[in-house]
Amino acid sequence: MSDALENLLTNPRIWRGQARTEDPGWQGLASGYPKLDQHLPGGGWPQNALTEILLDHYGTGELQLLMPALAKLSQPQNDQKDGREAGWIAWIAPPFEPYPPALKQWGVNLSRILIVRPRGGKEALWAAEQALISGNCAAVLLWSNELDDVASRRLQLAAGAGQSWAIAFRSLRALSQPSAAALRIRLDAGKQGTDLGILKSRGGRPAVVQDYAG
Amino acid sequence: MSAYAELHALSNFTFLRGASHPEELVETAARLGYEALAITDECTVSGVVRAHVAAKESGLQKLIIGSEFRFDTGLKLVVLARNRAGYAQLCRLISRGRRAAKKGSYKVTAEDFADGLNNCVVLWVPDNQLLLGAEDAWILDAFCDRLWIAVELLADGLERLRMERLRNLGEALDLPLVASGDVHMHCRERRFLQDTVTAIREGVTLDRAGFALYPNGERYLRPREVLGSIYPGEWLQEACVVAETIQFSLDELRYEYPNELVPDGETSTSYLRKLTEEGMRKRWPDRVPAKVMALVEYELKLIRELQYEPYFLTVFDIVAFARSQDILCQGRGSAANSAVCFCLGITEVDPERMATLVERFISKERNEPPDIDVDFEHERREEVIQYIYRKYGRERAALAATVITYRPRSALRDVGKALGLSGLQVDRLAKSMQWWDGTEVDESRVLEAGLDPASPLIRRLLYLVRHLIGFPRHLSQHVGGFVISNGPLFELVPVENAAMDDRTVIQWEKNDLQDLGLLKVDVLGLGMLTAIRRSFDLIREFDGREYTLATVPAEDPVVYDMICEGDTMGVFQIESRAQMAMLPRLKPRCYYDLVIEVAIIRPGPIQGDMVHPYLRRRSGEEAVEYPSEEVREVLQRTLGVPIFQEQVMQLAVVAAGFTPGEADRLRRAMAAWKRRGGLGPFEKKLTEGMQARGYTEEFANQIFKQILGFGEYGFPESHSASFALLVYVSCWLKRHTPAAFTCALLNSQPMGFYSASQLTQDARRHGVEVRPADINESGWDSSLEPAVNSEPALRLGLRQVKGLSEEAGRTVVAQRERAYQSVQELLEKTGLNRRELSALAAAGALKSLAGHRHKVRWTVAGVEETTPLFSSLDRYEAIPMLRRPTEGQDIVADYQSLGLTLGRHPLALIRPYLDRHRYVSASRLGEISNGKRIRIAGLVITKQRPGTASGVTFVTLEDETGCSNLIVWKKIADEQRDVLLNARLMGVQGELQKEGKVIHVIARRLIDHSGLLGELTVNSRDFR
Amino acid sequence: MWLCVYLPALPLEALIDTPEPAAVFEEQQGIRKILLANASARAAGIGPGLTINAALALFSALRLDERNPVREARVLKDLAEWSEKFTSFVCVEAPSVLLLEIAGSLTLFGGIRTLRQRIVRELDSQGFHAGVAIAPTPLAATWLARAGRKVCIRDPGNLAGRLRTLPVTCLGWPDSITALLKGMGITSVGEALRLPRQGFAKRFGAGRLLDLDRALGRLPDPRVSYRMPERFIADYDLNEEESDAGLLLNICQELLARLERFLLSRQLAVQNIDFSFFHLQMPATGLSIGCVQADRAVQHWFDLLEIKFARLALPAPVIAIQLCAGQGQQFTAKSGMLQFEGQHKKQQSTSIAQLAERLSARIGDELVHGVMAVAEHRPQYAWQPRSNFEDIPHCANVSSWQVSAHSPGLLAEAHRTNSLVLQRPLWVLQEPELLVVESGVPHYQGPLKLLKGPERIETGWWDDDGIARDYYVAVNPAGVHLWVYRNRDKDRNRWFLHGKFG
Repeated sequence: MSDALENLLTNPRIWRGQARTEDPGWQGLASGYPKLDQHLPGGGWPQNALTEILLDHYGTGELQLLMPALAKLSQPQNDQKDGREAGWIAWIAPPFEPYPPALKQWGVNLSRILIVRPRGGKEALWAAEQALISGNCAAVLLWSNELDDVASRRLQLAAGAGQSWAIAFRSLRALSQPSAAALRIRLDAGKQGTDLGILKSRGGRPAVVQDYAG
Repeated sequence: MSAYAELHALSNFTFLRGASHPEELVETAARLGYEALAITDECTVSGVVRAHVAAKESGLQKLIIGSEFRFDTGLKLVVLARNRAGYAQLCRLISRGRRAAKKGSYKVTAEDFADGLNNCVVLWVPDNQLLLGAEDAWILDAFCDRLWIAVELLADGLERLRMERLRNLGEALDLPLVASGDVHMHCRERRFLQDTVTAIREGVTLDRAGFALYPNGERYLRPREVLGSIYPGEWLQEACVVAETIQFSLDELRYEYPNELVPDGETSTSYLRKLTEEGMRKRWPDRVPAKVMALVEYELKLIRELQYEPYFLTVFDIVAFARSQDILCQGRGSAANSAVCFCLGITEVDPERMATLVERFISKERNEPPDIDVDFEHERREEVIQYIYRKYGRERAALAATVITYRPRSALRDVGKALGLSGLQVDRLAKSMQWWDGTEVDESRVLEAGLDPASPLIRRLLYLVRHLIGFPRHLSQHVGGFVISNGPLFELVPVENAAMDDRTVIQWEKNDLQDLGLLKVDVLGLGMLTAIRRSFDLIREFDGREYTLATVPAEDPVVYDMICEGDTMGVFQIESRAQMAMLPRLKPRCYYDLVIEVAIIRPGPIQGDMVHPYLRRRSGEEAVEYPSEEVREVLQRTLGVPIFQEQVMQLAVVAAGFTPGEADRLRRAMAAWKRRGGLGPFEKKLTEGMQARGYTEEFANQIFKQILGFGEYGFPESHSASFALLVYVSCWLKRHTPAAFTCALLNSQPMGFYSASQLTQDARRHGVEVRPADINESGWDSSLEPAVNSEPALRLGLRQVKGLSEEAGRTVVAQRERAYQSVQELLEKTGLNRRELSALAAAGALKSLAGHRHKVRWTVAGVEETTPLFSSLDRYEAIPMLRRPTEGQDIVADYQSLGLTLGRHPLALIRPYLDRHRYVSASRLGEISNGKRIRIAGLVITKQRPGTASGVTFVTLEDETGCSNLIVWKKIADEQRDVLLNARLMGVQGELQKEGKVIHVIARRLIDHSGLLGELTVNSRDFR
Repeated sequence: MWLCVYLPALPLEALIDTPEPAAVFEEQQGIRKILLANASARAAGIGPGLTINAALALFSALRLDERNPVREARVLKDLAEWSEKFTSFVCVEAPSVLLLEIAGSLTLFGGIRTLRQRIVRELDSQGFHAGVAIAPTPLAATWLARAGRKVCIRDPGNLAGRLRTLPVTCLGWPDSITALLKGMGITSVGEALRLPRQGFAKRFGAGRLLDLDRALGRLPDPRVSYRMPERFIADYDLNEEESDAGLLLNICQELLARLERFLLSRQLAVQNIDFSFFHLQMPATGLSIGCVQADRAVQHWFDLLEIKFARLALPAPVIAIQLCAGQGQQFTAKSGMLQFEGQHKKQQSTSIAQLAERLSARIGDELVHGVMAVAEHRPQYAWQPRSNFEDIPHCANVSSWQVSAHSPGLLAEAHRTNSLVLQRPLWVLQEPELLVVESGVPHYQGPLKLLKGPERIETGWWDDDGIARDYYVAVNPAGVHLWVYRNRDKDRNRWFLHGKFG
């Protein structure tokens, strides 16, 4: 466990727990990582809401974390009763090029990827909001440094309105800022793999998952 | 440095995958000091004989024969033959796989491996799927004690993981691991070509080939120190261990001749003697010449020593079958011109007549199998082939393969496509590099094609093309080379399907068979034999005279007179422009002169500059000198000029000290020197050997140059001798029975150099009356009819009518109880459709029913397609007034529908115009003296540009009096390319050149007069 | 009175406009042959019927184009539009004939002779060589023009006599018919007319007989006129200069409503529209709006306009607005769906294409895109952006990346089945970044440790961007997994960062 996480967990405001939370009454989107799902209310990612992921270095496994869920969303689910169509996944202002061959290896349907590169932070927020409320996107990934309290509230609302999963990536500096996100997690490189800290979880409890993929 | 044996290598006989010749792989492996190299082409052993020969030459320690197989499940196995029995198992397996799929592909299943291949070693090559699928688990049982896991580390970034996983897998399954390289090329630089052939294989451009390409160039024969840094030592060692368990060489293959041809109570020796003696009595009913007797004894003794009796009996059996079916045939080749073959009736060349021929027969030292090719009538060869299949079964008889290789043009086309050039660009380039031999490129040519020779694209293109030339591309069937064995053939060599239904071919070609000392019989088709047989038939039917090849009167001086005149249109071999021009100079007066004539006008001797010395010596202008007595013996019969392939080999032996075996390898190398860029070690050995024996350097160089000249075209004397007989017989027929000979030629078309039009005109010039095709007179074939003079008239057959099917034509003849009276009657009796009737009408064959052509066509156009049950009212429809066709219109129509006219020659019609413009006719050229400036015009009937004649174009013009020969030098041809290319009626201003009876017109200016012809189309036979 | 313009060299003239030797070819039964050659090519001996190989042998730098019937049709249509200035009645007879009914135009253009001269001259100046003939029936005019007769027949009574000498080859009948006629010795129209009518019809078809009758004016020969397709253009003039954005938008909305009515009545849809805002003292400001699918719904256009207008800086007040619609297309059911969905469902209605349009209207086209994988070993070429948001079929050749729709992904699959898969990073850098190397070890926020590799990628030699690299998976002290490489051939000690395993 990294020092940063250790410090965080010693903060009295955070309740440490390993136990599974009680059933929140909704079905979460399975993350594909059983170890992680145990700690998420509803047994998976909160849909139609905002998830915030805080990290210091890109390349700490932040995309891998989402891949199984995004892969599932992007594929048509004909076998299920609701027959959901393949969902679009919008990437707003990614810091590098999302690499299609790798996405494909993870099972993501490339024909459902929309990449948007706004020229400024405000534009990025606008684009994310548009994408969320349009109702077309199953997931909207946003990289922004201008995400403040107000903005996160708007995104949270837009996610609900457009029935879309919003994911915002932020720097660890945002740790102290308040957020309307339904789920807030932080990522740190651990000794084995990537360690994951659940900072805030609507209907659930904070937790630490070491080497979430292991 | 650790020892290593490569157990998994593909050559370019895995078509469009492997990127190196088998020889290159072998030589490189030997140089790198590999313990062994396995050639494991995918489901084939086509390349192994070459590898085998190269292995001996390059000193490779061990060559292993194997093959790679891929299953539908993705399983990949390499099977290596451990001994002779294992090799048979491998061949059987390949045959099964190949026979189960269409030509060019294969399909193997677990069942095919059911017998366990207990004399083979099997490598399992896991791809990225490291578990053995459930459906593939059978291999563990099938090959329990002879299965290895091949570990191929090719810098794909997964080596460490792969090694670890495979090691675990090997422990779990209790299988040993062995290093191998999935070799596709002999050196890293070939990967450009490897990528290119991959793109060609996938039918895409390189930039679209994607993952069909390999990500890197590691699939080459890696030096051992490199391998040592990649593989753990024990796996490399294991490769040598596997190689050590293999003890098989292609030298062990023992060929067994079919033995069922010998009747009970006889041995093959006694039976052959019996047959020979019977034949001898037939040939010489009175008394066998002592010389022949001695020769036969000598030959029989040699045959017995080498145990070749079954071979002669096999050929005899085939020839006897043909004879029983009245199919004309004639043997040729070294062994064919033997006294034994003459007695057996395999050849008609009388050994007495061949007194001057030094026989090559069978060489004991060389241990080379006898070589007999048999030509059959081309239209009936299939009957012979079917007989062979019937007699020996498909298990024991199959055709040899011919490896089709990349030529400059096809290489350019495929590489161009792979590099993304448009079809048009490739065409342009191909066009502008017509004579490119693949070595150097004239940059201005590339520029002319609108491409930049300095651009990287073009440089890549040329590099790739240069290396791709000579690569095998696919297997095709040899024209007629049969391999017949005593046991199942597929234990000797795999058999696969040919493109033709019901044909099977083996995976080796002629040279491979020779290298291994296997025997084959060439069953070939020859158009002239058909024509000769038909001539004999026609003569017999017409006046009862009987002829055979053997009974045509020999050495008839009037026949040689005709040949010396160059009056040889339509005869065998000596009818080409070049041959005709040579005849008056060579003045053949006897049979052996014809033998030389057949061999001398060929690209080989011409390139080697042998023709002119021979001519000068023959006419006495040049003295004949020999540097030594041995050389005299070899070259005396050809006046000191090496003309035949045998002479080159003998020279190498007597003058340069070659062993007969080396001489034979030299002969083989000669055929390939262009592709391989030289004669390699032979060049040095030859010139040094000659100088060491006291010959001058000049003489050595001259001989060497002549050898290079032979190239692929070297012509053996033994073949020439057999051909010369057919030359003589066809000339005799042309001279004495021109109507029958022309008729037979017409009925055997297409064959030879000349069109039906030219043949009939030639016949008419020789006094034969040619009668038109007529619905009430003609048969399907052309025929002979009595005429006022003794020579019969030639009636054109309905087969000359363009657009008339054979079936319809034969119906017309069959239903003709009495002469047809009207078109309507013809229609009712034969049920011809309108198209067929129109064809007959257009040809003027309905003239006797409905009047002139225009009327006939009106009538025919009006008939109902389906015959009405009740006669239609239109039956008596009035025929409108239609103009009678003019002579010109008739001639045009004749050419269009018959390809010839019996009316006046088109030039006769415009002769007044030509006279006004001072054009002379062909017949008058003889009266004009040498060097005079003249004008001549005629229909362009042939254009030839021999690759050898430095850019000169030969054009033949035809007018109403005969043909004239034009020489167009390159400069004029370039300046007036459009006229040369487009003119159908060409006028020429030029200079007359006479040399004895040889007359040429050297063109100075060409004029296109095609406009005078109107719509007449004459097809010129261009550039053949 | 009909004037026929016959354009024998149209296939050439439609494609080629160069004095250099050039020719048009056509593939006939698999053989590519010259169809037409220009003057300088003809001078080099290149003529119709020659195979391409032969033509190139004559002149290797010959420019060659394949015949393009679509292009010819367009040129012919353009010429029909052009010729509408001479008469209101123009027929297009593909592939190479225009027929002008000129009875009404004669006085206007100063008589037949002058009119014809003018037409020939103007065609010539546009680079078209035409045969022009005038006759009382359209067929007669056509035949005369094809035969190259520059005649003008006014009196229908002269028709039979003048047509007699025409060769049957200029009638435009199938080759098989003219060949049949020729076989009977019939080469002129006169000879054909002399044949018994019943016998003629039986042999050559009744249609041919009717052709003869129509040409001679014995039967009527009605023709259909070609008219230019309509295109929507509407203006709105303001009474005074205006710069209030709201007002201007309202006017635009009204113009769009007019466009919608126009399109609806014609069953058309358009894919792009242009607004022009006119100013008094300055050149007009343009604003173009394009749409992925042809559309006619005002609301959608207006949405896009609003976004774009907000970013448009008008340099001066506006005095007039013009709306000009692109070429109309047949309205398809698919574009219709779009419209109706748009009206009824609210937010979920917008298609992804519309979302993308909305985004790119504000952000810029090339900054909003999809992606696709390309089967390529070179990492930088293994993908491409794509702008079309329709579903694309899976690329046929990408088997290595291929994953079936429901499988949990190749990597997970690989883990399960024990197969080996090359790992690719989820992030790549647009341009590889040169890394600092200290004592032989590459650094990226600290020294790197190489975990896997090398993966040797050495390919792409066929274009000018071949690579020869050894790739490694490395990890830095912060635990970030990186994709780095070094070149194999030169500078083996230079390391580059190419991607991150996000």
